[in-house]
Amino acid sequence: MTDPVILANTLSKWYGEVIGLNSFNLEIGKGITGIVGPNGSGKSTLFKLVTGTIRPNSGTLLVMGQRPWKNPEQLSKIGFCPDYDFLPPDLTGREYLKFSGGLHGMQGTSLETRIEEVLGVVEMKGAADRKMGGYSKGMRQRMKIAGSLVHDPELLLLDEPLTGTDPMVRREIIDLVKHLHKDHGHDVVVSSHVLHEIERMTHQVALIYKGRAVASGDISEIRRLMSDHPHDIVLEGKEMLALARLLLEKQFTVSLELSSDRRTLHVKVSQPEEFFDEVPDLIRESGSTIERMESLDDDLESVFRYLVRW
Amino acid sequence: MRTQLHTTGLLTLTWFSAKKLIVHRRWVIALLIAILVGAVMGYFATEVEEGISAASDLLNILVLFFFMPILALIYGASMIRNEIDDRSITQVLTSPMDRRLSYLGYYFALALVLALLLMLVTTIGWACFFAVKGFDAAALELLLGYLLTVCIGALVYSALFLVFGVVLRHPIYLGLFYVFIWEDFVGSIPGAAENYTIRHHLLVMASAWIDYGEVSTMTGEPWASAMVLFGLTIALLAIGSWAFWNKEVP
Amino acid sequence: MGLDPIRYKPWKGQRTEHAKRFLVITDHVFRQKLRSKWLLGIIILGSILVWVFPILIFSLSPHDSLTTEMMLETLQNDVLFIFVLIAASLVCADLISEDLRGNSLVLYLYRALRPERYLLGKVLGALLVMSLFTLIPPIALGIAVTATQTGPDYLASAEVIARTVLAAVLTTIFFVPMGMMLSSLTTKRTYAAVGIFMFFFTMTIVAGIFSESDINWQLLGPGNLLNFWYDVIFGEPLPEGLSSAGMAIMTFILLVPPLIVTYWRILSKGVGK
Repeated sequence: MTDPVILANTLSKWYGEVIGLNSFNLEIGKGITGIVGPNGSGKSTLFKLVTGTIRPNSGTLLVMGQRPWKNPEQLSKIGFCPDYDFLPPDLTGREYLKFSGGLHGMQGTSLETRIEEVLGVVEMKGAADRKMGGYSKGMRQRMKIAGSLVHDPELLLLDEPLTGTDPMVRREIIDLVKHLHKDHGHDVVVSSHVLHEIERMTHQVALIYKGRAVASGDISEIRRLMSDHPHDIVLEGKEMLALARLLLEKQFTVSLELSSDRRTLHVKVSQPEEFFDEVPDLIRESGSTIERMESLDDDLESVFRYLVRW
Repeated sequence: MRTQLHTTGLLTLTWFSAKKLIVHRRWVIALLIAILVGAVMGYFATEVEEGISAASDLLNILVLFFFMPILALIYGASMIRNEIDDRSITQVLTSPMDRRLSYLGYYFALALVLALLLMLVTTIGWACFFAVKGFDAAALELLLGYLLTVCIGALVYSALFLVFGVVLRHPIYLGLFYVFIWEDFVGSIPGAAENYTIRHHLLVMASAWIDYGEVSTMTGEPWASAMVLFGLTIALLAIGSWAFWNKEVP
Repeated sequence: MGLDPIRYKPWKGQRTEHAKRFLVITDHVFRQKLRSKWLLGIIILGSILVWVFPILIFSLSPHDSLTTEMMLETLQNDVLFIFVLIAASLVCADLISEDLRGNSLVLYLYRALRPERYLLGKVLGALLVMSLFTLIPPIALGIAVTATQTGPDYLASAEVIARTVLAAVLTTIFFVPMGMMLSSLTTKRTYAAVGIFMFFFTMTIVAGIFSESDINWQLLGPGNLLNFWYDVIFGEPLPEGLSSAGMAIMTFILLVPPLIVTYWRILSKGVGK
């Protein structure tokens, strides 16, 4: 079994009274791993700890077997693309990559060759000699990724690379991330607050919520966790009483609540797939008219709520 | 391998930081200062009989007393602080360079740019004065003496204000206190208080090679002041690099 | 799914305080500045050094009445000039620069607040804060010395207090326009603060360099200019050869064009964006 790329053990970090990470335990292996969590859950704090820009208050963190704080040598193996914009507007893309490469000890023709390669990978050759102040959001994201790639790191950390980009650019970046691992062999840890975006890149995810790692593993296992818990579904319309009577007879129905005006039905189901398969027939049989149907648990926040209560 | 990395990284950081300082809009301030110094010295030369001593005193007041610490404050206090605030320091912090060495890179860039700007201001002021009074060997000797002094001043003041920028969230305020209250006010109190200012030691040191004006009348041992300034610079660099090494940048 | 009913009710009241909206800005500036530890520290330290000692010394030592010499000695003090300058720098540096930096200038003007009202609100706020150091303490000094005088001529003391009020108002106003202008020229308050210092000290140094050849060069120094105005206000003679027209022109240059430039900057940065 290969050593984990990132190993956090009861890792904690706080900023005054604000807790960034709280007894955080996580193991990230090779390949592409998604870190998913709502805003403020601790994703960026984790990345800052991994890159050694901040130090943990307690617990241990090992990145490729070493502690990152005050360990600049290790940063030659890590490429970091943060979520914020830090590109100097007065430099061209090429100058920026020269700066980035120079800081990693690269120089001369080998640096220039590498810059060309990296510009090709991120498809920024055409705009490389323009000042970065004039770049679009997507171009800036690509250039940030290029800056994190120029020294050919083993591990790439991408903090919310898709935020603020349009759907076309998002697709391009997702393809780029997959390409970086598959064709160039980089291990990638990518964070987002949108599960389905991560799903398109990888099946290995870790879920973070309020500074804790609440689940990690294959996405399908996490989805199954959701399925094992009762789902809340609301239906609104006419003749809901008749529908309620039919639902009561079903095995998947855990509980029912009908509003006083008999128009809104809250149902908890243990097997949502079966419910959704059978509900059209039940509606026909009951003669009810559905005006609105909504699954209240079909979002990331609900996943976290389940997992945190667990 | 590490030596090559650190050397290349240091040179890269120094070069890019120096370039950033020069092309930043602040060059307008340096240009305005140069024009002002030139105009004041040029006009003064038309109004007074004295020659070289007056030029020396003017350069002392305008450059050493006022514009040198001010320019050092404007450039130095904000250099690292601005990069921390706008997060462009990320690239440096996530590079494999030892942060203490990165700090030195910033220092070399700052000292170099500051020395160049101050030499420019001094030369323009000197040229405007002696364009009226006439150039000679003594005037050239005066210029060289002041150029050397401003270069040393740039090294010391850069070390001071750069550490302010790392340690404090609002370094400009302490910098203004140092320049206008400490050096101006406290430094002009007769007695031992002036020994605790950079300017005093700079002037004492400069008295060894400037033979005109008030600077030449400074009492004290130039070599002792040189040691004080050298020690102070090293101490400030050590403090600054240690602070940068231990600094968390969220 | 639909949206939940939004519990919004339109406001049907009358907008009666339209004309006084600038006072909201003034109030905001005043409260914000009073939360600044640095500014409060400077005001307290300056008050102790500049005002408290004279209050104690003049009040406790025997005196017939409040005299112009007492007030002039306190007002024409270099320490007062330094502290007023520091206070003006701390007060004015971020007044407009922060609004430019955060683009909130556009938000102010987007609410159909005219630029001149915005500027008026900011200036009044700055003056209100400055008055804590430059207006209230000298009046307190005058009142304290008058209250402890042994002589019967309270009318003469009242006259000196009236002149003090005039001098204090001038001191309060003096540095604010230039400070506002420099704040409007940059988005970084630290540069504005340094700029304010640099401007006034540069003027002082240049005045010092040339004043030996002609006394009117002293008018370039803002500290000197203020001291000459104190002489005028308290009825003291001006130095021989000093031009009154020069005094008026320099004062005009320090007060009026900076406000015009500030107004122009607000227009160019905020209107039509």
